[in-house]
Amino acid sequence: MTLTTVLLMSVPLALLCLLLGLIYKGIDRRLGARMQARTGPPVMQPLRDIRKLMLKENIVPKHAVPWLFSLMPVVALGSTLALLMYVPLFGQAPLLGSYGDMVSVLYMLLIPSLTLVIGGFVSSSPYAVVGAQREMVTMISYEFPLAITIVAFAWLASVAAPGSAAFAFSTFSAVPVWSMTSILGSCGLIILFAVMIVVTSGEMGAVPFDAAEAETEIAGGLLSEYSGRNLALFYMASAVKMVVLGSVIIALFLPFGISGYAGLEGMAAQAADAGFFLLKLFAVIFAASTFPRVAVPRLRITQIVKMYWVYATAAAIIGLTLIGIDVLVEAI
Amino acid sequence: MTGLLVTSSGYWHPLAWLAVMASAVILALIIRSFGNNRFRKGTDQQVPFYSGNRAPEGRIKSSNLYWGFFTAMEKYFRWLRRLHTGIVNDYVYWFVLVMVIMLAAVMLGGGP
Repeated sequence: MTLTTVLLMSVPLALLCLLLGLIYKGIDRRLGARMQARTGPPVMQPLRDIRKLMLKENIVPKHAVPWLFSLMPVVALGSTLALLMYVPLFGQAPLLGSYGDMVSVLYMLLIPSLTLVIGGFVSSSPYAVVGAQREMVTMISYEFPLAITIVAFAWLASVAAPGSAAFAFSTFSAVPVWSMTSILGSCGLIILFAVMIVVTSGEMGAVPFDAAEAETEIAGGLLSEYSGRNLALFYMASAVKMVVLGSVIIALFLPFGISGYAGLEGMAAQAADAGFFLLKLFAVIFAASTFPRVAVPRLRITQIVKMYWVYATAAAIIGLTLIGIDVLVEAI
Repeated sequence: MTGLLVTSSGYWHPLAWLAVMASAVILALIIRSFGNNRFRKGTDQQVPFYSGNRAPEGRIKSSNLYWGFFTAMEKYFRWLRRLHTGIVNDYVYWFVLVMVIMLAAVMLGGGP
């Protein structure tokens, strides 16, 4: 597929995933409310919120750096939309899978968070600066267990499937990691799966890792000065990021389709796999966002650092070690 | 493929990323253009929200930016400070230790 074809296909894909992300946000809010014995908003509420925000005034604070303040929401949405081209979606290979691997995706995932940080710092609001600092600290914290997980995957692929591109998503679509290990290694993979869910929660900025926004403490933190269409763009970026992060977990841990089991072929197989992908995405979002938001209260920033640097990192190292022992035992 | 940077285990194409990023940013700008771009300048709308109090005037100083990091990662910084004894011998010990760990990792991993 040429780059020009990809660019032409990217616009409908981006708009579809934007819509999908907003609907998943609606489902997330509705389910969260039901779990707390509330009625909750309609599933389409995020779309209405966007429409309302687009009609509202777009205020730029007095001492903000106006061009940076307005540029950051655009870059946030742009960078998350660009990420969609690099991750496998709807059971299909990524559009730009041969132009960037997992490590590229990891770096690109930093951009939306950095735009939030820069947007917070240039807002000239004390709350936004505190929020931006917290967002930076959260980023620094979850990168370590995330890196260990990715390294574990690459190392496993390099041993179990020699000659394949160890960091490519296609490697794990062709040969799921669960088939590369025996029982001990699978235990390690389950631990890494749990670590990735916790990391994804932090990347999404969901409760209990939402100290950077924390409405009840710092009035929305790094977004406290954003309004109107700028806030709408950040909201849309977070919806798309939800789809991207869910897709990364699916690509690594749950790359299975159902068309093979159902004996389907052609378009029917693609439609069945796409439907199954949406189901898996819902399950991942439920585990990483909806359930923890309802079950766990917000953590202090020091607790977030401890959670990632101590518990998640220790769990990731244990997972990596189990996989290592499993591979060595199999080799003997 | 022209422009594709390939290492022993990974690859990426910076020009392709720039092209995709540029088109995605254009799409974001188009979406943004549908929104309202007005507000009342010179009014209290533009005063930063500070729970009803007057927010500190001017921009936040860069010296204040580190406070959040030191507070959130206080234990880590305290540990780091203890390591910085100012004695050269200690730094050399650390250098040798890190070199040994890195060489062991390279030897066990089989190297590039």
